[in-house]
Amino acid sequence: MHLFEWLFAAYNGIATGMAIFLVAAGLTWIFGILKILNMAHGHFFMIGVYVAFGIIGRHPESMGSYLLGALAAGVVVSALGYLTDRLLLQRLRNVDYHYVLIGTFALLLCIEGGVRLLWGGEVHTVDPPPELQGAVQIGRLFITRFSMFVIAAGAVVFLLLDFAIHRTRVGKLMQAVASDPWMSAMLGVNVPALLRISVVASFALAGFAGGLLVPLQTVDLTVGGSYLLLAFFAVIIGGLGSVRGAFAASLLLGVVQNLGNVLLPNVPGLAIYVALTAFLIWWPNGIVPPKGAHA
Amino acid sequence: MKTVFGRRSLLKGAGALAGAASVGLPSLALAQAGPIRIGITNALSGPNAVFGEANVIGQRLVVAAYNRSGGVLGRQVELVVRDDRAQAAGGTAIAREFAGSGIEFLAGGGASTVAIAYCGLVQELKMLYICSTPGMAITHEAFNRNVFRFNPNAYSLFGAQGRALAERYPNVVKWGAITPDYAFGHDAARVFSNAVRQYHPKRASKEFDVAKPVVVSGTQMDFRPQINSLMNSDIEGLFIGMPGAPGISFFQQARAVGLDKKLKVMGETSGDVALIALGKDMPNNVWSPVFWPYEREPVKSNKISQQMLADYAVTTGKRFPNGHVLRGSIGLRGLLEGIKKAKTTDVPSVIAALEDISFESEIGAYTVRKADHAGMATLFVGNYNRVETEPFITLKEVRTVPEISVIETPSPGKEYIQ
Repeated sequence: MHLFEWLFAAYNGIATGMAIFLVAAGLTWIFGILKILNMAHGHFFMIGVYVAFGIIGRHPESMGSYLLGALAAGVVVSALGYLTDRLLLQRLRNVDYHYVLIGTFALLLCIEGGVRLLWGGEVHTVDPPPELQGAVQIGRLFITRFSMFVIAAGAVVFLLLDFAIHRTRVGKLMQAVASDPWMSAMLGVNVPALLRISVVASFALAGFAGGLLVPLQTVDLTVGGSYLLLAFFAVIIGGLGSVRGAFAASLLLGVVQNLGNVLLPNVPGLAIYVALTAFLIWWPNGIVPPKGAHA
Repeated sequence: MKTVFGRRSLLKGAGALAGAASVGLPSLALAQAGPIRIGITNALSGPNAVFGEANVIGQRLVVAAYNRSGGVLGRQVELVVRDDRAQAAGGTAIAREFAGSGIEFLAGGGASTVAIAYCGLVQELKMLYICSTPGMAITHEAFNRNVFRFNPNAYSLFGAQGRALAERYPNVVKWGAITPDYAFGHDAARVFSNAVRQYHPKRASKEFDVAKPVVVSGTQMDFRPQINSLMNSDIEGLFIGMPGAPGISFFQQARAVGLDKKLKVMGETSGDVALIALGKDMPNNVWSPVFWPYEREPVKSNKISQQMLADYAVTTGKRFPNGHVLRGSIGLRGLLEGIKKAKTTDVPSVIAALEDISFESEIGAYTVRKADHAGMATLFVGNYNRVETEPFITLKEVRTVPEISVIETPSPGKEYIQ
């Protein structure tokens, strides 16, 4: 085994981790605030992918049009989030979690059918914008410009989210609602409005992630599941509802997955399940457990 | 001596016969005069629908052509189509529903899991199953007399591809493969590699080498570590065993670092449906299985192919069918020819007729091998190139391989171990 393979696996693990975080961010947010595990999150990510594809096409002309496509995907999916909240999630807030799983799974099936009706079942691809095409060769490592961009984008999204949650008034109110909605309401906080903002923000993140990561995978009906499982793992390992935890866990999962594939090439994908099991045994509340959590 | 049949008994018997005639026999007569019903299942929703729908279009076109020319045995043919969503549980429920409604012929089940489930079921249901999947088990451990496979399996497909590329690129002496960690991928990579070892003109030279396949997770979409390793290796020819979306992702990521230009030749498993997705980024050195090369001879001059192509255009309003249309049609054509040969729709008779049938198909002569019910024809391996007009890809070069030269030795009922 060559050193360059280890180095590349570690680097690519960080890039993969950032992509996982972009998907996991919305998932953990909505869970933290509403305590709803949204099974359809990956499919809203898929809508973001398709919306961005519809806007920028196969070959985005510039970095500007690519970013505009990602932002538009975020806006469209956040609007769908608003509708979903009004029609479905609002009704699931105070019911047993089994109903939540069934309800959001039904939503997943509806989205899959709807996307197929609108865009068909064919497979498409999208290039990175011209500024992010190609690779930089460092010794025996071939680092793509797009992977560097994904790392930067993941870091920026994390910093903005962290700032919004921990440093702004709305973010602090959301934390208060997540911690004790009844007491927050007693103190005059508009809990329903904050919950709705949380849902819309979570969906916006899913759509934006879809638009941003569209050049990284194919545009087809399987794209919803491409990062969802890893995003769920990141939310579990990070601590349910913790954005900081999801960030750390995503990076960890990305690196474990890539190094695992180098170390155990005949059982690809195994390392990540071993890591998940180990974390559930030794850190059952996650790396950054939400306040008040205990095993 | 007293006779066994008295007058009263005879009268009772005659009455019973008359009763049966008024109730049962007309329905029997109706069944013989009514349409021949064939149950079709395939993935018509979900991610596999793009393949399933193409299969069903091919099946409908064949049936329409036979019906136009008077049907089969003087009866029209009717397809009853259901969506199995590529899931075995759903598929078996549909097959039982078909059997319950008197349908004796089953075709489709595009996913290997569905097809294998059907193999275990059709004898119990007394049905005849026409399978079109490339799974090896169909003619091996899952084999039974009620099942016929009317498309090449992984062994034939990728054996032909390995042979074609080894002979076409004698100066490419360093070969490798990347494959997903499930049965199809392992089979495909192993068969391809073995064919390269067997047929390469320079197989005895010191430089010649076929590396052990690189295995990736079945759900993996990020192949950059493997691509980085390939960039640092001396491999010149690569077989990519990931079908569909993962394969497309591989090409995208390979292109980003220039692997497509470094490699002299690549083989892949999906064919035209997937390659179209790459658009103008499709590398020009990729070779794929070609199921229906209707734009190239000898298929271009084939009257059946020409008729299918014309019918396709009229029915769908499109001009360029993908190869999966043929994967659906060829089995149905075989079944209808089997019924014609048997001169009855009685299942055991049709099975017997199909066991050594030969007929003309869209791609030329088609035969069935009696020992394991494997259908065989000419296989095509093609190098697609990008063009600016619809359908945006064209076959630059096609190599033909007789399936009989690459198909495995029959071993029905036993797992195939190479």
